[in-house]
Amino acid sequence: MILVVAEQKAGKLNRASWEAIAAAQQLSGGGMPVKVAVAGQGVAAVAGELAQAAVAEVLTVEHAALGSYTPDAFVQALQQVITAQAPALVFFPHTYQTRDFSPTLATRLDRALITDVTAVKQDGGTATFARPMFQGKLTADVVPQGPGPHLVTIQIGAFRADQAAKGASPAPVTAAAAAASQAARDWSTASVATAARPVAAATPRQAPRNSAAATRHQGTSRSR
Amino acid sequence: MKIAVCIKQVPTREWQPRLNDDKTWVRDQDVSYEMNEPDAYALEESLRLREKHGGEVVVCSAGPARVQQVIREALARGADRALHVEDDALGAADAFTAAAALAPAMAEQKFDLILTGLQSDDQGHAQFGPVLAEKLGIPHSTIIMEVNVDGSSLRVKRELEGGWFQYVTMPLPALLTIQSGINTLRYATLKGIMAAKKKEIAKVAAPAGLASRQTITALYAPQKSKQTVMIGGSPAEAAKELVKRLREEARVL
Repeated sequence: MILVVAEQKAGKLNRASWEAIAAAQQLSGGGMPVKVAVAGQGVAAVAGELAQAAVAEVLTVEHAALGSYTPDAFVQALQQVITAQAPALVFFPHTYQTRDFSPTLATRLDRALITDVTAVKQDGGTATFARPMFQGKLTADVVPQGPGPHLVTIQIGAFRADQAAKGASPAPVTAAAAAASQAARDWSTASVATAARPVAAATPRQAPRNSAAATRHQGTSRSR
Repeated sequence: MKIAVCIKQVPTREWQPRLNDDKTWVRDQDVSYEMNEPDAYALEESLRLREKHGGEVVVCSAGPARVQQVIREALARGADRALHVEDDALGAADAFTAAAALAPAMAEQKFDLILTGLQSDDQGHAQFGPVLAEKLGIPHSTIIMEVNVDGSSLRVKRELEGGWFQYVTMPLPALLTIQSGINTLRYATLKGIMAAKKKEIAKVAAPAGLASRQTITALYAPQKSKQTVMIGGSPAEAAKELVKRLREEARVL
């Protein structure tokens, strides 16, 4: 089974989640079930939206500590879901949020994580993932090592959201319980977001502050 | 404050890759190296924090003997001393392996703050920082644009998508990955280069049992996907088709 971890913020689905679903469906080729998990607080509407996809199940992970993103809470919650579901592969959209918590999650699970993947291939039972290297000068075909589940992040723009197959009828939505008692102890230990604000329209984010700033990393997609 | 900055030696940006015989890695003998650019900004930020709060900056790097080039450069720019986990096999190590190689020696040092670049210019996993933080059991935050230290806690400005930022507070010790371009880099002075020759580089052997989490089965030039398409039909039809393609294929609308 391939588990796709969708991303939402304040009840709004990040459309890169559909791209990760499309990648999972392509790799599966109908041979492996695909499930989608979405974590947060108040994710029922997002889960309903995701249930339109041709997937076996949509899992909701609801907890007050997941209301605003912290890596600690997301790692704990997703560790529980992944351990309970035991998928072969876990796909994420390669967003800033995924970049922040997926290496921690992979380390805690002690499993391989392949990031920024642009293509997926099934090669005689072995899943192979293409990713850019040396700033896009080369592409590498990579095979994750060690026991599964293997974690994979999908570069934004590498797959098309509108190519995610929709189901004839909505997929079942199931609540995946997050262990709240453990959460109460650990989920509050570290970073708490204090504010978020947009940049003033007059100062575009990409405006170079010095010559070197022109080479700032965009974090996610380079191939949109 | 005891600050560590993790730097990586990577091929220069001008370098044109040539593949080895089995096409799974580049020909090492053809490569000229430099400091990973995002790590240079992490180094600069750590030097500024030391100037503001006192303490020391310790350069940490994992790799073969050749990485001393970038360690010396960091010392010449003003870092106080260095920790080099040396092993020939670390030259092509993935992020997980590099973090596992550095973690035991860095744990002993009990750093208050660890900075590194948000990703490497060579393998570009963008994993090393959070993996190291997890191995050291400390909180982390990624793609940081501003660092403010207030006693035993940190307040940082984190970059999000679409021009949004987030302010995050966390206790020390902590690890941050630094966005490129957040400060103006200083360059080594002649005095700095001379002083660097006397600074300590502690060499540590890599821990036993390091195992890579991924194997490269093929390395190749990316396929070019750019092609010109002529859209025919009447102006009204062509405009409609153009808008459709801009929306669905180029996704710029």
